[in-house]
Amino acid sequence: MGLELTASNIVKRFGERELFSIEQLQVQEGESLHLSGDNGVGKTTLMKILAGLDKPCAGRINVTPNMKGRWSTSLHPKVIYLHQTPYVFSGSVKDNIAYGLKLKGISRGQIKRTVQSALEWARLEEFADHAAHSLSGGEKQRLALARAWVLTPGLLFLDEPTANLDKQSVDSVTELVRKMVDGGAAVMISSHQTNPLTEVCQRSLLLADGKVSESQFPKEMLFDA
Amino acid sequence: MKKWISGALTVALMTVSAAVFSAEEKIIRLATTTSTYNSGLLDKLLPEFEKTHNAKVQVIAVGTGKALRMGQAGDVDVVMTHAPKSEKAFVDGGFGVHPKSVMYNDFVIVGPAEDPAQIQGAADVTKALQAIAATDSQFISRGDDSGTHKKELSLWATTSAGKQFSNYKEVGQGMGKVLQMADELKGYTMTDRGTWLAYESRLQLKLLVEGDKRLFNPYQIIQVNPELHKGLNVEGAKELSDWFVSSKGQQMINDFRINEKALFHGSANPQVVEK
Amino acid sequence: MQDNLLETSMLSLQLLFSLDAELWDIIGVSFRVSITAILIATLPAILVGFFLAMVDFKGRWMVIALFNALMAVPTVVVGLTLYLLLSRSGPLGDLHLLFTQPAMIIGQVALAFPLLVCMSHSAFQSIDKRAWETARTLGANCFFAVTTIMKEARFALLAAVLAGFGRIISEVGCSMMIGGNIMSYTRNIPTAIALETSKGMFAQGIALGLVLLILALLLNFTLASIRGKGRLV
Repeated sequence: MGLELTASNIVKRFGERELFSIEQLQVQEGESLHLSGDNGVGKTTLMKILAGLDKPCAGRINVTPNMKGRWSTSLHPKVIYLHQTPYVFSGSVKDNIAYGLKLKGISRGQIKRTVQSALEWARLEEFADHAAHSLSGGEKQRLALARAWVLTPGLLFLDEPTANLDKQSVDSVTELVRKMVDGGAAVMISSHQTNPLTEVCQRSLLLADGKVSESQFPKEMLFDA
Repeated sequence: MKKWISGALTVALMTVSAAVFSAEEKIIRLATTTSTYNSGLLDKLLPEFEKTHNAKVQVIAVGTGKALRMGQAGDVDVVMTHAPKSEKAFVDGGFGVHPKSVMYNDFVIVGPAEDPAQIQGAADVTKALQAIAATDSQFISRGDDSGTHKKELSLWATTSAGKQFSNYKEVGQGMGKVLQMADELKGYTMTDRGTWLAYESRLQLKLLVEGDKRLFNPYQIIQVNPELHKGLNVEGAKELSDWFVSSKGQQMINDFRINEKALFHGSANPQVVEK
Repeated sequence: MQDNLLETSMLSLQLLFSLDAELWDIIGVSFRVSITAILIATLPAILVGFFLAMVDFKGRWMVIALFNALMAVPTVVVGLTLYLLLSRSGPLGDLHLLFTQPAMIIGQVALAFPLLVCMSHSAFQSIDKRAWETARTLGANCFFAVTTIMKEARFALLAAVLAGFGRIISEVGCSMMIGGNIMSYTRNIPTAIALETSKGMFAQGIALGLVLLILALLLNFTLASIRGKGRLV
């Protein structure tokens, strides 16, 4: 059964100022979206709200199927948000990748195998036992993707993932995201400009003047993998 | 801003020091026991002395042990304490000169109204203490090496069993505090009468034993030996100790009352020398 | 008088190394009481600090200011308040806690708590908000997210605990007032120093002071070395 996120009548205000008000927004499994808009229009806030990390002032977010336990305070396990500059936990690269797995109560051996394949997936093998803090910006971004990948997300929010990266890093991050999309995950990538990564996306949304509008442009032609 | 503050501070300091020095008051430092100080006796006596002698007496109220120690170190000009043996050692050691017997008061034993050791009205303090030990009642000891503590220990020494019982508690605090603790813990303690009278109204404890001659408590005033230390106010120390034994000083001591009860008895004549 | 300090210090060292039973008794009381107190105070205080750092609510600044103010309250005032509560005539008098070790522990918990709250609050504040969000989005429920943040802030939190311990093991006012300085029971290092000083027994005072000094050095060296290692990992 495919994952589907529906947001309706989302309003976010800071004091008197209304940041945005969004009537309807739907993301389905397998989709890839580019959320564009100028700096400061609220792209980050919107994605955090959709991911459950921030609360809207009004409106509802509905994710089906709902996989949360009734009394659990966890967020939806298949929806993951990645920061523009990832936060890495203290400890090694391996520890970071294993973080989400350990919470799920998986056996040690299974965790070890999954972490190993994630290291390969993100080409981080050589850094496996390095302190995560010592990685470069691009490596941290790959680590963040690997950390999410092990949890097999259905919907991934990527907040300006290539903003501070050099060309080479952008390419490798793009490659990883493309692999995720190929694996069936939906992604929403925010970026105030187009770049190799946003070209992965099929749909394009524009956040401007507090509204989200769909801007059609024939990305399907480019994205044909 | 900072300059302004430091300027103001300087002016303030100068004003204060000018005020201090212009009066040409002589400062006399007197180390004495908490029991004397807490009774309020010195508050009554010293202003009179200060007025007639244009001096300022700074009272440092500590235990006898520390008072003598301060005298020995030359930190004070004169000491007034009530531990004859220690005082004798102090004078014999050359740390103090011209010991003068000033006055005496007495110790009493107080305890809870329930009186588990049944010592009320006992004429013999040794028997009373023995009963407290035998019933393993709470006994709060000063335990601070003070004159009162030393006196208490000397009294325990007269008992056969001594103070080796589990509810004997050394607390190492001043007399007032020890009375409060005895009150809280429903225990016995030995106190000087002055502090007892000052605290009596606030406590549920009862006075149980008094009048035994061994509860007698003599005070001496001793000048610190000026040959050992520089900068002592020798003249002031002499004036103060002379004044305490003068007829005026003795009169005021005898007239001092707490709750209309006399507390101290001048003992300048005849000389009390317990050696 | 010149050689007095040296002489006193030598004598005090002698006392320490001669394993003077009374001295070690006092040291034992100090550690038993203060360690118990810090163990009790730490977790709740850290959770309050966390709450204040992460949850925005009306009047939060007032609560923070209140805890900051409580840190500055003299220990004797805390002692006096507890004395009045625990006194036989006070509301909790029936518990017969006054002049017992539990009373001292209560007092020290009360002293350490505001300090721990304030220091852990700033420890959590220094942790990036992204840490919380990352933990949550990777599937941590609130409880695990809190433990993750605590782990991220562990050095600052450890510093808070050590500072709290330093405050209570060296405080005299509250212990004296509600412990009562009873020999072999509620006499700890600070009250013993106060007592020995009042008796003029400076050597014992210095010896106990040395214990506190050595302890402070040990704690701080430990913290510094853990921190040093922590940078590398």
